[in-house]
Amino acid sequence: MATILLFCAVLCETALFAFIVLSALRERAALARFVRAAVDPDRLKDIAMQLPGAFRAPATQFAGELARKGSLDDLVTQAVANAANTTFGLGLAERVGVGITLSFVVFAPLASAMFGAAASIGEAGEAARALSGPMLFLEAKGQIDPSFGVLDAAVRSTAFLLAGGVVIGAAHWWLLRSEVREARFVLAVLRAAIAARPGATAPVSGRLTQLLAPERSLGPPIAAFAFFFAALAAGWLSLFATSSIRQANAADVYDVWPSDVRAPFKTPLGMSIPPSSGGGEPINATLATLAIGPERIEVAGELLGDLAPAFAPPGRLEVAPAVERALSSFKRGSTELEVNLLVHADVPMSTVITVLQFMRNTHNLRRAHAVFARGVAEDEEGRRLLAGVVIQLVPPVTIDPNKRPVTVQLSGSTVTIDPAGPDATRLERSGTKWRTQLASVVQKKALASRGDNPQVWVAARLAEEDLTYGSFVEVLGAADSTCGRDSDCGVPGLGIRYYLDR
Amino acid sequence: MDATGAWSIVLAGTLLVAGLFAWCARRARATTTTVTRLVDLALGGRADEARIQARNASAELGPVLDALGGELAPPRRRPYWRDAVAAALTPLPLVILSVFAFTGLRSAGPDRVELASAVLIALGILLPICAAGAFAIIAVARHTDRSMRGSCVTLLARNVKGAVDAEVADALRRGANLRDPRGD
Repeated sequence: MATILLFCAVLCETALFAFIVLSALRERAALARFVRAAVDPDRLKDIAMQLPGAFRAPATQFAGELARKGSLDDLVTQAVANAANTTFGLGLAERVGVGITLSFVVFAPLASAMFGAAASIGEAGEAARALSGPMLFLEAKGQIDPSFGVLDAAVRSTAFLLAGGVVIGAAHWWLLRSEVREARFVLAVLRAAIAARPGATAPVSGRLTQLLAPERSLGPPIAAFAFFFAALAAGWLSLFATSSIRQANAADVYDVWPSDVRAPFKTPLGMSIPPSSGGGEPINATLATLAIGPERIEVAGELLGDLAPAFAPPGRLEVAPAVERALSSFKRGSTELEVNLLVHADVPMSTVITVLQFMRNTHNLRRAHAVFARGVAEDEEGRRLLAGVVIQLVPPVTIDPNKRPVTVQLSGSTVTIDPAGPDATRLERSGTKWRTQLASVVQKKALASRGDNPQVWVAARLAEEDLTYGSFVEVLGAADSTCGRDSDCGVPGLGIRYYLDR
Repeated sequence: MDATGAWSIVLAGTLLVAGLFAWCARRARATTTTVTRLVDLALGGRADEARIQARNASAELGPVLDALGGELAPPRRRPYWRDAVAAALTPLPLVILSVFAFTGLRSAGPDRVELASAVLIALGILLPICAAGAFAIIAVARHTDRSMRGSCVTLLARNVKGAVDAEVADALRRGANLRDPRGD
């Protein structure tokens, strides 16, 4: 619809510009014929009747009086006064009507795109009511993005239409404004008078035309230049002032993360949170935190043990009464424990799994939210936005045991999807495209295989347990990412739930 | 802040633009009628009466007053600051709507989705209305300018004829040779 309206608007502007130029040329040619015919006053009236509409009446009166041998001075003075009182072009009502129509024609594409965008926002809001979590963002983004793309195109095309309108306005001002047409007619009358009666005197009309001659000073051009320069400077200043906004818009990053869980806890001193440029969901800050590294292992703020040098698996972990007391408040009557897992990026997965197994055996730890740092939206204190992917320590009971689950296997610098299946996909974790490819393959398979299960489950398998936690989380986050590109877009992930497949 | 505010701004903005245009059109009609009456008075031989009425009328009739006074000068432009102010006020509803949208959408209220839709629709309605209003006000101002200029030229022609006739009569009285005034 916006395209059709734009096409109509461009046609209208083109037709208007052509009309202005052709009208000016036609008027000049007609007045030139009028002047040439002045040597034969009897024929002049016929030529005057052929002039464009607004010129016809004063020209006919002039020609008639000239043929009747009236006073040349009176004739010319009368013609000049008539020209000054003639409404050239459209009358006031028609002018206002054309202006209103043109305004609506020029802004119709933009208005149509705005209405479309408003409708898509409403539809996205309705669709999102039944959803929650990351799927809400994905559903809304999918509905809103296309219409805002149309709106962007409509704004650009309206800018061009407005520029076209300025050109048309300038052309009209130069060729067809009333003062120009009046001057053109007066000049033709004076030349016709000279041709008809060479040598005759006309003191009154001579002095009158001197007083009415257009100003030839430099004032108006200087004023026009100053206005143009000021408008140009204002335009560039506004572009400069809004450059950060346009840069942020062009980056295609969405600020949708809840403000209260962007970085809900401080990381231990010296800990390097692993990064990922997509995936994950907002942190649940009500859970206990299991922190591994760089030197200690702590849960709910209580020491569990010290890490051996080079982050080797701890030889011995003990359950102190303080840990029991601290964890009891987080269990809230349930026998299962769920934690936020904060691990130094360089800690090997063997150490992480050892600690997780210990917590499972002693405190019935079932689920950990592996925390990583997203690549966008730093909070006011400069900390990275934190997200988490869910890692279940045992396969969930909701998975159909007869179906082979989607499996992501990590080893060294490669990641393999469904290594035991007929369509295994192997990706090298180098370069810039592997994250997008991983997300595409994993999500397509996982969504196809989930059946009636509302959750999307993927098995995470480690072929080498000395892989670092940073690499492990980077792969899980990339597979969960909904950005469709390697750079972070600020949107939560699809909501894939992982379970350790050993 | 909710969508009702946006609709209120649309309604108020449309009324403002229509009101500004109506005010300019009414002023223009009054000016044109007055000028026509004054010119008729002057051409009917009652120039003094016309001059008194022009002096007592609005300052907009300054150019006509100069012409009625017999000045031999190019017609002055009509003061256009009122029309400029009226045209400059036509984008005001858009500015108010933008400020309303900016503050409303940055708050954490539950009606932001509805507000965003309403703001977009309101913008789509107000943009052409404000542009059309500005165009119409400028068209009315130009028409009034043209009308007043035509009246001034009519009076100026009469003044020039009177001045030339006076020069010729003076030359005849002095017995000087009549020279062609076009010689200068």
